[in-house]
Amino acid sequence: MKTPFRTRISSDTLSGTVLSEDNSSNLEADADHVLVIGYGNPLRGDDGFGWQVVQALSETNLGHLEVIACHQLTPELAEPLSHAARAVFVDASVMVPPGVLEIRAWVNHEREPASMAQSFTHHLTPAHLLALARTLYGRAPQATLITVGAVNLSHAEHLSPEVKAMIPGALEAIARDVDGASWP
Amino acid sequence: MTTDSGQPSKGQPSADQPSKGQPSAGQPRRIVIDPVTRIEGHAKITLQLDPSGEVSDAWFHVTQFRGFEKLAEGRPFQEMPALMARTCGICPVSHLIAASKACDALLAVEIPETAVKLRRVLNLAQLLQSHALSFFHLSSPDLLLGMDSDPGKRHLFGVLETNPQLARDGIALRKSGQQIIEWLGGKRIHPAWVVPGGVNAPLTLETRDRILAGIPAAMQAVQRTLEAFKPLLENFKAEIESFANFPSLFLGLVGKNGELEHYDGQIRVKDSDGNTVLDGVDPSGYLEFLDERVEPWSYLKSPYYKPLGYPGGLYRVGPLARLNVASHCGTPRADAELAWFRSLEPGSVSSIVRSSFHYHAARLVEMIYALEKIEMLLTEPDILSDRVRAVAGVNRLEGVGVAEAPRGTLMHHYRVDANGLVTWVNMIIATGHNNLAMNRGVLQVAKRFVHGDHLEEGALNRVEAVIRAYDPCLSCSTHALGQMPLEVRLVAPDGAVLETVSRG
Repeated sequence: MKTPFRTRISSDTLSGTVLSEDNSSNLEADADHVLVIGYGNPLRGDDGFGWQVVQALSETNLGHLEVIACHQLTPELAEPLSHAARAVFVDASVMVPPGVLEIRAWVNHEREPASMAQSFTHHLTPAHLLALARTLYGRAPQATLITVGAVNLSHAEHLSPEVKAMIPGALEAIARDVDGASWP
Repeated sequence: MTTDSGQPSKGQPSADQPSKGQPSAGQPRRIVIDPVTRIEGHAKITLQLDPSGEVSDAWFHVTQFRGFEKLAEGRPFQEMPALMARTCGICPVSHLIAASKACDALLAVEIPETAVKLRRVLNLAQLLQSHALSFFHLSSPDLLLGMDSDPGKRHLFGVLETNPQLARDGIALRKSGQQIIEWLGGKRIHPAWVVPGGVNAPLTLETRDRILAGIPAAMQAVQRTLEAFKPLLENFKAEIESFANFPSLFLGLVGKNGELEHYDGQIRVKDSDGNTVLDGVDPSGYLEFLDERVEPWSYLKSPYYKPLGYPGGLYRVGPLARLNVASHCGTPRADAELAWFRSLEPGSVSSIVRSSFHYHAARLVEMIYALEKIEMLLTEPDILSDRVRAVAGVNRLEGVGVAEAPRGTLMHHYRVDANGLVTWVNMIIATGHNNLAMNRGVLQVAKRFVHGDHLEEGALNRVEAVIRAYDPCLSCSTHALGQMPLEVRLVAPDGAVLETVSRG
């Protein structure tokens, strides 16, 4: 069973998140801080794409990068999001053609609050999470959503060859978000 | 231990077959609330109307079969903690601990004292995050915005707009409990740290200090919430009167001095007048005073207190029951709030709190206790000892492990063969203990708020809310924070659907 992980990779010494006594955030966002959240079920084949991408990132030396791998987006992610200058969400989906990598440069999170009523579940969307960050902690970063079209979502701990082949493309997109450098 | 009730009683609905047909004027009618549920899933409720349109009876159905008691048979007992943790994704630590305690009994070991303390810390962290989920994410929309507020705004985002501080505190408290679990056990859900004989790694100084550093902010969050919650109770007098507010037994673990207890201790049972019905009983002997009845309208068994028979032996477990049976909490701030809790029903005998609405208050008191107790345990001199596991083989062929889960007393009972392979399992989960009480609570609320042949949204919400007061696993996994997926159907006794109201 894979364990969700969180790794902070930075060329600077970050003090970490220190909340004020009322759990609001009184830190300015780190101007270079990029938060990458890969989410999905790593036991369901291509749904582990986000995990594999952030695992690859955690082994690199990109600066100002924080990565989180988790099974689903939850409200607890709103606070770390509020500190990031940019955010990248990495996921697999059946709404994208199989084996295709879709990169959306902006995730619209200007939703009406009423829409949260039906969709505020274990399965928050990136837009919901960003809206939550904005409402509770005063800010939300610009965001990119990287989605691969799933080929196989059956019980498996490996990616299909088509989806695995999309990892370099995802890493390139994230590298551009971090500092414009090409992927080493 | 189950006893079939035989053929369904005449007039009772089945768990799987809604009635159909045409209505007849002046005849008893039935309201069926569907869809099909699992324990952590959706709810199905049937309300029986009499000819005048008033509710005469109610059934709370759990219609999903989990099967853990059977699928564990044949497995090596060492697998049981990890396997049984999968019973629930909300309170896996509770199953992990009860299962490990049952395995400790099979090993016939007394685990190291440091391991006991570390298991206690993990259990209390579970309590903290689970209670935070229940109070803030599931119940606060009703409590803060009102039972009859606009459903379009009666959700967590509505709470965010009305009281962002409360929302932030709720998220922070749940995160705090989950982080402690992750730091101790390696991950937030289904941690593998607790094992037969103890825990599989000692606590490090770094982890201890990290946990301690977060306690002051968490305590402030709970106390802010409690101070905001207290005056709100004035707005819920009708609900307090009708939310499963009836005499019942209360069952829970207590420590050797009668204090609040979640990991070990002995069984105490009190009645609504504060009389101690049972005390000082080793929980491994639960079969001597508990039995379970199987009813055809639910896959959730109905435990009852044997000396009072079925269904008179109805009892409640969980935060409300624990605070009713304990003589004190044993930590200063929690004891101060316990005094307030016991003043909630001024006419009550022996300060017993009867209304299930006050489960919400009890959860907040327990959250304060959990934080105080975690701090106390982590500052004990032996907490960093590396003696954290006793090792042995199978020395007994039967073991029982009992602990207090967030929702109530959790019992795991295993039998194994000489090779340590499981031959029989019985589990009584907290939600099961409360089954009869939940049924009676639904009936009480429905009688107060459901009238005639039309379902008002506020009535539907109150039926939800009385279920949610118990914080059963089903409301945790409905994936709709603040709104439980429910379908309510008005069905005539011959099956015609008069009206359908659904959401989620």
